[in-house]
Amino acid sequence: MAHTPEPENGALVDGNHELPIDPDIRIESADATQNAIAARRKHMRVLAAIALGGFFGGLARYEIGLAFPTAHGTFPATTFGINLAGSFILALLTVFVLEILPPTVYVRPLVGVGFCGALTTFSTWMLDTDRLLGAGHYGAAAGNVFGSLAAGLAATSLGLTVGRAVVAHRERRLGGERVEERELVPAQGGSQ
Amino acid sequence: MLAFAVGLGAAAGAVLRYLVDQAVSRRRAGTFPAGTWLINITGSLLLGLLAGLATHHGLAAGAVAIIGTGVCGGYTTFSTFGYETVRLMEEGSGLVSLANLAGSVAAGLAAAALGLGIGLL
Repeated sequence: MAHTPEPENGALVDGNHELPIDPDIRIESADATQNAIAARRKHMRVLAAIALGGFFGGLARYEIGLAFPTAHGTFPATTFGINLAGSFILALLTVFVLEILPPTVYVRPLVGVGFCGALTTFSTWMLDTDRLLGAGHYGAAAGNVFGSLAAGLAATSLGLTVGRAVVAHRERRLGGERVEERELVPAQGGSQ
Repeated sequence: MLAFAVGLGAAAGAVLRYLVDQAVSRRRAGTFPAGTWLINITGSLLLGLLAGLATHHGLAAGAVAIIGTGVCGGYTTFSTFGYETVRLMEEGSGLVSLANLAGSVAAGLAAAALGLGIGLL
């Protein structure tokens, strides 16, 4: 608990008496309070990053839907394409965030959770399929379910594969430099 | 103006998705991605309900765009669903991965249909 000087005891008059009785306890509790405040601020900034990414992801899906409308009773190609693109970007981004980019707090919330999460949609995929089923368009409904599953998982795998290929290429390059350095050491120092 | 409101709805949906997923992950250990599953099923139910209300009770198109396209679309996610499914396969949890696929699609279709049905009442 923070020490609060009381005007009655003369502490404000004589500065030497402003020190708390047990400074250690005060410092620890102050640190704990500071840590709690810092964690709370970080949490709020993560939520803000998700909201910002979500805003643009949802806006992009809405605008793309307006630009490429699909007629009722037909295969919802626009949602299909959006879901594929978002799946590929999320997989690629996740590899980069975990393997390549310097430790970062906000890229994944902003682009992964926010943008890709809001760009892609599960609920519209399900509702569109139900409507196709209800209207008797069984072929389009089955194509929407199984086509989205197959292509969506393929897009995710492709994103992971491309991301990992980039990581492997980087490591080969960096590893090659390290090998050259290691080879120089015995030549110069005469020991391993 | 409506597009801006749809974006705000999607922002709220994305934040809600993160909070729900965190809350579920804290309570449940295990490989099945229960958080994303719950999110996608509840979002499909709500979108179905909105569609039913729009068709049979004249819910305004603007409201459908903001809550349906915005909130439900931002809340539910296909990309994380796909990512978690592929990662489960890679890690050798093929059965869990398959259960996630079948369970998400079956429950999602049923939830959206249930929402539509309630909206028709």
